[in-house]
Amino acid sequence: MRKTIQSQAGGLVDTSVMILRFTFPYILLLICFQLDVFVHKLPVLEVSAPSFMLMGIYYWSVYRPTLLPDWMVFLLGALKDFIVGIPIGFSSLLFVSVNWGVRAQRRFLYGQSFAMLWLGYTLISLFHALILLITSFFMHGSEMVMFDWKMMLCGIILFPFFWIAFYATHKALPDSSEDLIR
Amino acid sequence: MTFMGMSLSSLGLVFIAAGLLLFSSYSPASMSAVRMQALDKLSPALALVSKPVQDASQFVRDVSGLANVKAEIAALKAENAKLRQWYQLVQTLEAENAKLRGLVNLQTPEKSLFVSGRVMMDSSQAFVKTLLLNVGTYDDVEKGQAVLSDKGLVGRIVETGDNTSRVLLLSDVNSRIPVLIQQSGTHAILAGQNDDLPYLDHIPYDVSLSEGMRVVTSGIGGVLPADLPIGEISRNQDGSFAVKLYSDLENLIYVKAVRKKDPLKIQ
Repeated sequence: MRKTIQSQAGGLVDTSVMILRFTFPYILLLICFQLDVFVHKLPVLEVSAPSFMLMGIYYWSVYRPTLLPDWMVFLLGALKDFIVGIPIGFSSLLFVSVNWGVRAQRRFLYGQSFAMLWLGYTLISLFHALILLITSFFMHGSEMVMFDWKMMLCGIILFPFFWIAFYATHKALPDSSEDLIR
Repeated sequence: MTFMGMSLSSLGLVFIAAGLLLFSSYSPASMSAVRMQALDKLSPALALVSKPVQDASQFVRDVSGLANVKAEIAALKAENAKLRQWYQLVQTLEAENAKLRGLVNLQTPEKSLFVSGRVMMDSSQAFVKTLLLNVGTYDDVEKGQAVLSDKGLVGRIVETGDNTSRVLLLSDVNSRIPVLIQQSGTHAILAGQNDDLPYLDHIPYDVSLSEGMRVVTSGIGGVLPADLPIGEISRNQDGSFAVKLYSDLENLIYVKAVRKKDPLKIQ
């Protein structure tokens, strides 16, 4: 009887730990979303903040695409547009495109060194800055267009710190056969 | 079934996002009501979620500002001494003004009322400069109302929900405000250009302006009340005139919307 109770309690603890482990990546994504929505200038530096959500989308698209399905990426983008007040569909389009682009290159990126992944993120940052440039051009005309290289540079510098956080949560997750590269 | 490594459902999402983007770019008004309704529902959660980020940003600003405390105290002391002199002068002028108004029987405009609100979110993105406030139509906030900080004008209300409203900042590229340059009596249009310094447009050619001249709302058009302080003229490197705003648009916590009439007053 005691053994049964002990094993049931052990099972409950294991399940709780497992749920917690699966929650961590989403908590981190929520923090990235919060930063994306509420932080528009980096304090002290007074530079436009990069998109923190793109860092999360990039990492999970390479290592655990099942954690961040397309519809979730789309909804997060739409929610951001609703809250921030930018044309609805802009962030959804950006996030879904990056998600798709990274997944298309996943076979190459998976298992690469950190330096290679960082380079990958640099390209995404460049893509983001270019999309902002093009959108500004269509919305406000050529006079207001400016390539925000400072924002891009800040994103590239900050990426390793976020990568460490994502990597730590990733390591806590149990292996998934669906996300393996065959 | 896939297209360039993309599943059909993902491709569908791309098309939906692109369609939404085109629709909301060309007809922003049609999405405005939906957006404000959604924000009304989300506002309690938004207030809760934005608080830690705002507090953290404030903490970083406070800590980084510690290095300048000594210089700041000295500057404040000098400013305080100057303001004391101004205060004496203002009291004399105010008394004189009241006497003269009485003599000519001048009709002064109706006094404005204010609705104060907390900034829930500052959306100073690359191509949009807006604020989201926690007050809406239930608090008598209406489209077109001027919004002030403790130092001066920051923008005007462009969208209203029941409990939330959106402010278009003076720095936004879509912002156009009729202004008056007090010292010269010149009328102009203050136009945002998505940076910290909005510029002065439609200035007559024969007017000479100089740095430090005070800019206030002109009240022309009847949308904004007259004489709301905005900022001082500064000169750009290319010789054009910009306005250095009194309000710091990056660090706003509480603002007030200007209500023209008392809603309780029976007409």
